[in-house]
Amino acid sequence: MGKKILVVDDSATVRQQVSMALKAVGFDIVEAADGQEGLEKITEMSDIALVVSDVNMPRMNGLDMVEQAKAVRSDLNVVMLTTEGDPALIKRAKAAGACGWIVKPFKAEALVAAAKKLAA
Amino acid sequence: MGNAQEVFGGILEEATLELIDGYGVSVTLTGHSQAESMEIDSSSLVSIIGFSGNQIRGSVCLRIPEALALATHPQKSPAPTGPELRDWVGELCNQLVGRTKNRLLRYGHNVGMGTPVVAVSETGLSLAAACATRVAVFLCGETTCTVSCDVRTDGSIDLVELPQEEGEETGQEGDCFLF
Repeated sequence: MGKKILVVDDSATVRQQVSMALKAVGFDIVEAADGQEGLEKITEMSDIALVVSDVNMPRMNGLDMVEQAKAVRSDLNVVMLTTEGDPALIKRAKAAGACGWIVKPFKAEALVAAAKKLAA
Repeated sequence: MGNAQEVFGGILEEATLELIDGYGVSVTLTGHSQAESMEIDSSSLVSIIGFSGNQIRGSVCLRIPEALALATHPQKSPAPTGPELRDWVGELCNQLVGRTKNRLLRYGHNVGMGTPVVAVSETGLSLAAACATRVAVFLCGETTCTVSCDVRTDGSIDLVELPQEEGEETGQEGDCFLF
């Protein structure tokens, strides 16, 4: 069984794109449609090796999710995958404990390389 | 009155060209106009995203025909279903406003953006704008799409591109930063 990656995005199309790219190289995928659901999955599943998360989502945004997830699992690696390129948001993600930032639309090879490095 | 609508519209149009071209569809801006409302026929998909920041707020509306949604959708076979296409149009609008927002940072304005609302109708829609809306028409392959924006400002601010400062680089599409 491959390492488990949680993909959090309110777009089903993006979740599918990310999942396909990561499944193709052997990762197991679980999905969540917003930060609230993502946080619930992180709390329930102790074997999640990496989270790939959008920023702008309904109910709970990705940055709030990272901040709360880090309180549950301080060792959890999270990469933000978003249309946002604002340096202030990138700084906030870094301060919250995120370990990467990818700007959409993403290149599958860049995502896979990041996942292989961070989910190891 | 400031130049916000015109400059924002120009940034949005440039972002539209890059976005659609990035998904492999030839795209040309064929013209723009002002309108108080937007008529949406039943074969089109529409997504709207609001944004707001210091002294500036508004919304962006992307209208694309189903054929263009299919042409840009990452999944080719099996063909995406109706709900999948609607989800995709919301994501396209999200990527469009995200690009626009990132370019607006060069003008010293940082706006927060909402999540997309996708409008659906089997009989057509008439979307009223809160103010005169700039509508840009694009020829995309053999179809046309429109992108409209209404931009409201407090006072008559001018959007002026600032010299790029060193050290605080704005993330661009496809960038991957590992900390």
